[in-house]
Amino acid sequence: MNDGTRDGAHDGPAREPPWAAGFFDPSHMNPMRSMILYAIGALTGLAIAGYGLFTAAGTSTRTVPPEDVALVNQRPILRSDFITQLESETGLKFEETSAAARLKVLDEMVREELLVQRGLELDFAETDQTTRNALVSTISQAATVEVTTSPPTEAQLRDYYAKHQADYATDGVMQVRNLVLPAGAKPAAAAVADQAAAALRAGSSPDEVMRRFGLIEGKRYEEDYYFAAKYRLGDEIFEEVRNLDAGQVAGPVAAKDGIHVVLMVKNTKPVPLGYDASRKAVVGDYNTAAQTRLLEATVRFLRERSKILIAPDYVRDYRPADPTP
Amino acid sequence: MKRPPEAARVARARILAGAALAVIAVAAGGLWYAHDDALSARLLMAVPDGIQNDPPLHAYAIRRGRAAFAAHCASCHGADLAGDPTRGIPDLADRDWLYGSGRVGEIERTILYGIRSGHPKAWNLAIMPAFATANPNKFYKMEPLTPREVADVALYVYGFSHPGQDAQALARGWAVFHKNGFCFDCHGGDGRGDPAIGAPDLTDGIWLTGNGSLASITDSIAHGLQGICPEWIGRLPAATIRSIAVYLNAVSAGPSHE
Repeated sequence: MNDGTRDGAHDGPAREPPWAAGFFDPSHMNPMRSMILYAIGALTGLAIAGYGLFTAAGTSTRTVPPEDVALVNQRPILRSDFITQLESETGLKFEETSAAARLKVLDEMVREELLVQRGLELDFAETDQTTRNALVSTISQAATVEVTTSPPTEAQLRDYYAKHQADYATDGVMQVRNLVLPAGAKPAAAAVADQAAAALRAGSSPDEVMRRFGLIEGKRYEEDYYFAAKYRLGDEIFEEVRNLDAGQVAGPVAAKDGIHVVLMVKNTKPVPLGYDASRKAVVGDYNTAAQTRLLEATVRFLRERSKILIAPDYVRDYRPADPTP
Repeated sequence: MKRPPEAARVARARILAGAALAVIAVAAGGLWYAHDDALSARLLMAVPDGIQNDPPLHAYAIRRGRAAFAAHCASCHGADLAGDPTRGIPDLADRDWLYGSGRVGEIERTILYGIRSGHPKAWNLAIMPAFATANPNKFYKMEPLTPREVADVALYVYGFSHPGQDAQALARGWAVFHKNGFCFDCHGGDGRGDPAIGAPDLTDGIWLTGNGSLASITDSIAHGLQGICPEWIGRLPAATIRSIAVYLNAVSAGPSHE
């Protein structure tokens, strides 16, 4: 029943309820509008936060993401890995494999994941040497990832080249006759070696000098790269001969095995290379140096956050290695 | 001061229109997102080599893959996918695949884990040793070669695509290739390579690095090659990675080793 006094019909135009007055008028303060806008803001924030929470990596879920073929304790088995494993085991393309083969391989991968997780629970990573080696290798290689994902700029490469220019040259190649007067061969060995060297310098052939002065020659090598010649001659003799021209003689040089007299047969000295010719090598060297730096930075960080106690008999001399170039 | 009723009505209409537009925009965005999400899921759950049989899905992958390639891969491989042989960056459009035969799943694996990227599942097995150095292969004990051996085996490899070289030098090169150089181990006795480990075919006239000249081959043998492709797993969505693989498969017009 309408008593005719509350419908406002007799009070002129209908009035808005108090909460709606000025709701859409920005110049009019309206607590209800404020509350609704607050609520919309809060709900939007919650929705965004919830989306982030429930889709972030590692979030516990009961559905398998489309890129995965299974989740084992929330650890994914990628479809790509599954396909690779399946094709590897069967020798067939994925689409040629049977459903039974797919299920068999899937189960194998689930089983492997279970055993790996059990191994982690039992802390085999700590006790098994093979696992430890693999972990060290993997973590060391992880430094490579940073390097490969941020390739150096041309300016960085040129700067590196400028700082290490001496490293970039053609390969030095030499061939020598390395004659030796064996240690303890003769009482006046030094004098004999002097005479042998003088004879070589005077143009006698190596074979004649060996015969006359009792020198011997080990295996005779053909032309060799500098690094190989250095390895065979030893650092000291190599430094004596590296700048000789063909026909020149070094020595006598005393070494453990006797006194050496070395005839340079052929020496193609390294020629410095410009940036363009060296670029490929510069990229490799730059990346190697960057990997070493990153790995050492990682180790430094780990040292800083770790508590390392060294036994009393070593603590005084222990110094962390830093192979950073 | 109160607004006149007309002005209030106009303000109310504008606010309602704005709110309606916002709702429509959010709804459209939601629908687009849901549609894209559904396509992504379909793409990921499809058999990789069967995607080309689903034209709408294939078109979606090509579109998405092309954009992702331009954003993430073109800086090295070039916008035209032609690579740069002076830097050992492969041509991705020439149908010649170093790893695998160019199938979508194979390309996807390379993009996921990279080549010598440091990821344990990357293509890490084979490198081209630097035979003019004291330690040609840092992962595997190998002896260096002498300058003459390098020259002989370079000529032998050069002879695959340039017949008529000096027979004696070729014979010496053959011996290095099949004996102390261990070249046959990766490239095969016939030099045709092995896409299962990324060992290139030396007989097809396609050169990953350099121009196939004798000097360029000598340089590769003397100083080695070990190019790097970064891993993208965890850095790009799985659907984007598969899209790039579909795109590259389509551009290179299919397998070459089959």
